[in-house]
Amino acid sequence: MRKKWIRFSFFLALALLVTAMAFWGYRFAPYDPLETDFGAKLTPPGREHLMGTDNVGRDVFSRVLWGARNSFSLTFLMIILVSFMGTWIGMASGYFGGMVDAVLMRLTDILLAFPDTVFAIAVAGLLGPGLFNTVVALSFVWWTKYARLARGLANVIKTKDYITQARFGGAGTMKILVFYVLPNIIPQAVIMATLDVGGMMLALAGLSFLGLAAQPPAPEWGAMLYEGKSYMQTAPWIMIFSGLAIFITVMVFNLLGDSLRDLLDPRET
Amino acid sequence: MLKRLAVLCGSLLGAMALAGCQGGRGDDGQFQTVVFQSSQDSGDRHVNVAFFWITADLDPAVDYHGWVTSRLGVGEALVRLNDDLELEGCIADSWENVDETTWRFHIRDGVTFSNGTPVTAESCMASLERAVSMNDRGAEYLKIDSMEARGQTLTIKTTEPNGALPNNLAEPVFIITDTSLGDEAIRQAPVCTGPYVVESFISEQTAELVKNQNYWGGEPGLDTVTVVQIPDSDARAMSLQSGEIDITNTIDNTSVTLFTDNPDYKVSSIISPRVNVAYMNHEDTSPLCDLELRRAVSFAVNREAYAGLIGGSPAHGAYSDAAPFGNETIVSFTYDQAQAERILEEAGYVDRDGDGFRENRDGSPMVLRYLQAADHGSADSAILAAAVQSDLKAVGIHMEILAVENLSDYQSQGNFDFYTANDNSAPTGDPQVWLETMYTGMGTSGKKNLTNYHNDEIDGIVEEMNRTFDAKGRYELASRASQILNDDAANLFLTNSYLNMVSVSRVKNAVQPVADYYFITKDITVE
Repeated sequence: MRKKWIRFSFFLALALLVTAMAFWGYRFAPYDPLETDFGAKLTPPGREHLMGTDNVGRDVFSRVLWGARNSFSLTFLMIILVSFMGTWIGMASGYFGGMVDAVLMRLTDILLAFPDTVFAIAVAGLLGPGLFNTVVALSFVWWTKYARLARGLANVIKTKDYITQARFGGAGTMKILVFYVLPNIIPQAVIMATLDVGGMMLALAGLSFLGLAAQPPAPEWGAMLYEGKSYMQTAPWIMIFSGLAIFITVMVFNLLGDSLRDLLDPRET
Repeated sequence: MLKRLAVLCGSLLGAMALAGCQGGRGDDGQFQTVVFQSSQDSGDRHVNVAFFWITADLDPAVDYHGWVTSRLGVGEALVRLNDDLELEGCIADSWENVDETTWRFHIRDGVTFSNGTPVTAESCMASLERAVSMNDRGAEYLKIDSMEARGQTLTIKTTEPNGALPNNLAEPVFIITDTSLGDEAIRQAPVCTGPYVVESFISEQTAELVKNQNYWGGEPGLDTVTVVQIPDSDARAMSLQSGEIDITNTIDNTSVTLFTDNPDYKVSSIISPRVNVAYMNHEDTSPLCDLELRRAVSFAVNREAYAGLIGGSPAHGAYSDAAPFGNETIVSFTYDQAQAERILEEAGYVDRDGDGFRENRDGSPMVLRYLQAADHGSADSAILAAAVQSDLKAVGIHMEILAVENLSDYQSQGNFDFYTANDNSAPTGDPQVWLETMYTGMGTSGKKNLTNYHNDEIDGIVEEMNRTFDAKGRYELASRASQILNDDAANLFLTNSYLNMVSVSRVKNAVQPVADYYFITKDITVE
């Protein structure tokens, strides 16, 4: 148990560090991330430019820092949104059962059948590319797994004695859901959300790479990867640093999610 | 048992992957796999070539498919353009202008189609008629009233004077094909007069060529050629490095350095008649309908620097510097951001809310929409977009880039302020085509005047060009037109694009022609 705590604390500290970098790091950016300098294009990493410059002379280090802010705020926003939405829908479905359950679960089944990225591409095709549209598209399919999880848990919880007790004690449906069902779902949902940070970030970066999410010249890691693609051989630093940023962040959050699961999951001893 | 199952699954997966990556559905509905042939093994002189674009079919009369038929070295037109964009004989060896509306072409003796059938005025006429009836551009370029074929003499009568006619006949839509074979055969393997013959063809993937035994212009330098489509510039560069292909062209400026300093490769590059243009919307739905704003924008962009970013040279006038007309005398916009700001201030575009961006004259926010589509498999358009955006920002103009796949949808709705294209300013070595299609006939179908530009003087010049039959006179008119377009700040003429052809060192005579609908020639050979 103690070992698990140490592991968790370590990754939590790392994740907090990365998050802090994302939300405050841009203040330390040495250049404006959108400032072009045609004369200094494709400068290799050095004293002037820590991570070099890109194809129109923008400072890659500043762009990575600013990109972190964009990627993180969007990812967190979406995770909060979909986990909240999914948990409530799933909980209602599991708790009430019957018609409500049937309708909501068929809806999730339908949405689960859509691969999220492909769905986002389709939405971007219909509504036009852009961060907002992509976020809407991803959220639209992403909540389903939280709903599935919450429904399963609610199904089990509602048969528990303390729920019956609470009802005898005069608690209304809303009170039971908020005070007795939800607290038992939250730990699982948090584990899932932590594990999801990496996935969501990759999905957003992937869509930006395809040119569907972040629009130029906004600094975004996936979009930077794409811009650097043509320079893989001549100016590899554009790709390396944005790719490294994605890699580190996703890995830290995945490991954090894993260690959190080890810690909270009662089934594993 | 399990082991055997695993092997089976593995090989099935492998087979599927192969089919998915390299194969394609052939005509018989079976999957075929492209196998690159290595010329070292066999005694054949063989090269593998990558194009950025292979069409759905090879019928020269359809859309722009003739450009690919021509690049393959399969199709030839009556005339062709040399590297000074001057007209030379090809299937026709001489021509004369009998009167204002009559032209007489003499078909070269001894030219045969690749199947051995002699090319006569009759067969040329049939081929041209087919192009005119199947392609709007074909009809527009020639304005044919009637044709007459007698022996080796082809007489063309036009409905109105058309001084551009001989040059326009160089356009690959007018490739001479053996029309007696029927449409289906022409789509898959047209029989023409070029140094190579199509042996097999897979839509948008590959073409296998063999040399034309009956070629009129001498012995072609290669026995067989495999041409594959690789749309992405980086992928082409890497295929060249891996040895998968021997020749390709239009490698982006940034990757071309991988080959220029390397003795294993040869790079041939030229300034082309292509121009990178940011077209501006002249309709009153766009803020750019205001001349002052267009002038300010024209002063704000740093063409020199753009040429440094993507290669090529800064554009001066409407036409590329590679074209033999137009640009020497042009007084064009220079890079002068102070001037741009002065114009904006005087015209009433000021930043009222202090957000760093100027508003419209009525105080409403102004955001200019810039459509950017990857053109010719190159990243250049994205770089240009970012560069223009930052230059406009410096003078307080807010521009938003929209990277789009379906550019034509936005164009047809007029839903843009800028759109970029890498367009050929002299596709037939003559100034009229570009001027007429892009700057006249506002709103007419078949034309490409999507920005709805209109100026009576330009209409007049095009009218005059029809009646002007000597090259010098036409060039002077082009010059005048270019100056008018410049004074109107009609569009942002950014850079003259550069084109290159890169080949491995054992390939000889792989030279990038100025007219970019040529590629594989009879001269290309291997050591």
